[in-house]
Order: sequence, then C-alpha cells, then structure tokens
Amino acid sequence: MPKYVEPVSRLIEELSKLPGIGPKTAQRLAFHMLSSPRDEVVRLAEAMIDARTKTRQCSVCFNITVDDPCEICSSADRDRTTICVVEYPRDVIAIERTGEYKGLYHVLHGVLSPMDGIGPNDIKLRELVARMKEPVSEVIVATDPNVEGEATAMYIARIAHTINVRTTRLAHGLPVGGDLEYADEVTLSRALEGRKEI
Amino acid sequence: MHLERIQLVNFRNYRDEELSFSPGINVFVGNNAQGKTNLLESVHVLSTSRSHRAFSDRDLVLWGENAFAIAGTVSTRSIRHQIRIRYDVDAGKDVEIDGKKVYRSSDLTQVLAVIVFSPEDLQVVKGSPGMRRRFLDSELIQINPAYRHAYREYTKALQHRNSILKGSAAAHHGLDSDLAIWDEQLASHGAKLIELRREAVQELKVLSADKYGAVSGGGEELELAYATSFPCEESSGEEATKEALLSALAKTRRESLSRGSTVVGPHRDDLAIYVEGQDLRSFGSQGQQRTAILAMKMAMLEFVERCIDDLPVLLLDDVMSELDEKRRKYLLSVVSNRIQTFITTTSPDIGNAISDSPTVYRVENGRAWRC
Repeated sequence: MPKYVEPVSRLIEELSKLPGIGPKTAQRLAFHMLSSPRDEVVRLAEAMIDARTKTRQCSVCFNITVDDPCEICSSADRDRTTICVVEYPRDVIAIERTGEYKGLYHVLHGVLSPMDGIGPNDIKLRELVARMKEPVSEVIVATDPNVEGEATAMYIARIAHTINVRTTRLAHGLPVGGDLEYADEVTLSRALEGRKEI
Repeated sequence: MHLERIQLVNFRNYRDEELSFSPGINVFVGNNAQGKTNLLESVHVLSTSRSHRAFSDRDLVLWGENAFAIAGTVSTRSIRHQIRIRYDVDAGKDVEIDGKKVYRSSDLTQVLAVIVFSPEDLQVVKGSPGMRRRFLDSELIQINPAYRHAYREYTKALQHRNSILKGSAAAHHGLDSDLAIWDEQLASHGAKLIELRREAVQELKVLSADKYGAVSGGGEELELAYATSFPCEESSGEEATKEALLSALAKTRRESLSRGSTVVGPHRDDLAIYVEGQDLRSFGSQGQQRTAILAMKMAMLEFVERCIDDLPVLLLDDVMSELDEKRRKYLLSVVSNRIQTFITTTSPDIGNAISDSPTVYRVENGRAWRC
C-alpha cells in the first residue's frame, strides 16, 4: 500500500482517532491543514494545548473549570441547597442557557452502563452521595430520558431516599413552539401522562 | 396501497432494472438463483429500509459496486408517493419520501406496508419460541411506535442487566442494589411490551380462528394465547404486570446469576397455539400446522390493515409450492385481486393456476420482463 510521507500519515492517523472522524474525513482535514497559512495551524494547535492544560475538573461539581472551585460553585448568588445532576459539562451549559436555574450542579461524566463496563464507581456518584449528606434540600436529576439515564436517576433516587433528600426528575413533554402533529408518538404519550391542570 | 413501479440500480444481481406492476397478482417465474427473491426483497427494503433476509446492507450491493438505489412509486388510498432508498458503503443509508428525508422506518411503513410469507414461516408453529415472538414483533415494531420504543428500551435494559449477571460470578459489592435499578427498567418497559403483545394476540386470536375454520372446512377450532414466562394474570393491567415481572425477576435472581442471563421476561415469552385444546407446538399434524400458520399470516394481514387503515402488500416467497391445492385456493381467495401480491415460483403452472389472470414476469440472470 502506498503511504503518505511520515508527518502527513501521522497527522491522518491521529485525527482519525477522534470521535466521529473516519479515515476519509481525517485525510480531508489533514490536507486542509497542509494548505492553510502556517499561523492558522499554529493557533489551532495552541488552542488544543491550552484547552487541555489550562482546564481541570472542579473538585466540587466536576464541571470543567479554569479555577478550582469553579465559578458556579464559588458564587455567593447561587442557592447552595439545590443540586442539579447532569451527565456531561455540555448539559450544564444547556441548563445555564435557560437562565432559570440558580442552584449548583454535579457532573457525573457518564451514566450507568453495565454493557460498557460502567458501574457506580466509574462515574462521579460517590462524590454526589457525599455532597447529598451536606445540607441539601433538593436533588434534580437531569440525566437523558433513555434507559441508562433512567437507571442512573433511579440509583440516585434510591440513595437520596435513605438519607431523606428530596429528588426530582425533569418532566418529559412537548417541545415548546413545536406543532403537536409533528411530535413523535412516544413523546406525545409521555406528555399526556404528565399533563397538568390549568 | 400498491406498488406501481420500481427501479433498481446495483441492487443484488440487478444492474439497472425498471418494472411496473399490476395492483393485483404479480408472479415472478424463473429458475433458482436468477433473482426472483431479490425482487421481493427490494420491495421489502422499500417498505422497511431493511432486508428480511440479509444481516447487512452491504450484502445488498451488486458484486463489485459500492452503492445501490431503489426507487418506487406507491399508490395509497388517496395519493401517490415516491420512495427512494440509497445506500453507499461509506456514506450509509439515505431514505426519502417525496423528496424529503425521513429518519424513522415507520414513516416508510405508513406509505408502504408489506407482509412476507416464506417457507421459513412454515416452521413458526413447531419452531423455537423465538420464531413465534418474531412473528409478533416484526409487524408490531413496524406499525406501532409505542411498541418499537418499548422494544428498543427493553432490549437495552436486558443487555445491561445481563452484563451485570455475567460479570458478577465473583462476589460483587452492592450487586443487589445494582440489579434492582435495572429490574425496574426491565419491568416497566417489559410490562408495556407484554400488554401490547396481549392486545395484538387478542385480536389475532379472533381473526385467525375465523380463517382456520375457512381453510379446514370448519371442523376444528384454532386458539392463540400469549404465554408469559412467569406467573402473570391476564387482563389485570400494565401496573399489575409490572409488579408481577418485578417479583419474578427478584425470585429468579439466583438462577439468572448462575446462568449469566435473565431467565424471565418478554424475551422468554411464547405464543401458544392450540387446535381443539391440543398444543400444536408439540403435537398436531403437518397439515394442521400449515393451516395454522396460513390462518395466522392472513390474520396478521387483516390486523395490519386495521392498524394502518389500508391494505398491505403481500409478498409470497416461494411458498405456493409448499401449500397444497386446498390451502393455495384459500390463499388466493383472500388475495382475490383486493390485495396486491407478489409471488415467486419456479413453476410456470402456478401462474396458470391462478384464475384472476395474474401479471407474469420472467426472471433470468438479473433481468426481468413482463410476459
């Protein structure tokens, strides 16, 4: 098999290790970099190194942060008795965008998934349990509404129950602004189940 | 609904073929390995985006090529739809209805629903419980979104639970509480599955008893019953079924641990088939079994018709030669120019035996033409 010269084939190989990038895309990206101005590629490389070396996980909530504890955990304006549990840092951003939530977070960095060998000790569950023992009035579980997310929520609820902490789950329902007729059947029947009196 | 026209490009052994069909009976005649079943398969792919006999889409591509395409024109009660399915080894699959991309195969089934009847189905009565579950599942998954959702989530939860069971041969810390949360997931999705299967079986039971009588001449009575793999009272509701499954999972925990897999639940349930109170799964003549599956398939056809409020298309893959005169006649009387039907056969006599003047196509080495 003919191969590219070593620096190029090495770049293609490294790029194709990234999630969602196959060999063809890796090749396209590599050649894009070869034809880009030198300082643009240097900026990309620096951005990658900076992002990786200047950030860490907050020692309280495990969100990605520059300073430890993170901005949210050290803020005086947040309600410290409410913890919202999410799967990944991107979920924190999603909930923050609402501007509605004033409590703290806890990032699990995954969900229970025995099929993939992920048990309670492989995600930040023990750390969550430790936090629930401090004065906490409510834990909001905002894991994804699929089997793994539900099982993880159930796991948290069971422990919270034994230490008398109130747990709530995000509601399932219709997307706002959408048309009823375009909602899929499963979402619609969940929304029916969770209907509210007006 | 019926398929008016189909176009195949690099699909199986067809390089480029375009055929138009009659809304009644279409017969594909040809020797073995000429491409008759491939034509039926292409109709199945149009209806579900998947083959009913290949494991991978790759197998559907003409040897030496990287992509296939199927396009079809379907006429439903009110309007005409264009379906286009493209598959590329690298880029994957792309499904369009009337030029709009769709992501759920159920959207296809809304436009074109098919029922397949092939020689393997003749094994359903006497075969493994898995074959009988598939008899129910394959149609329910296509026509009922709630069923498809419960099926998918249940299967995932089951795989997770089995992973825990397999991994914990050695003493595992907190095993009971780990299993308990998955039991809960299994039970809630499992109960939904069981309730929906029971509803379907209830309807199929009435329909197939009627059809069994019509084939056998009315002497004997066919009865279907959904048989759970654990004690669970029928018609007590989803909540009660969930409780029953939860307690069965807890009771069988030790056995499940030693086997490394979950021993109760809808993935172990069965469809019981009786004639005159006798269990056809283990007793019963070959004739009774064939009449039973024929009745069950025709019942399924009517069940699907009720669900989608239109007539599905029937694909008879090499099954005519397996049926005797009486059963063949019955099958054709159900079809009777009402249901669009595609038949494959090696014997031209079958075409001649159909009184309703079918449209006959000759199939030879990756080419097909109307006779």
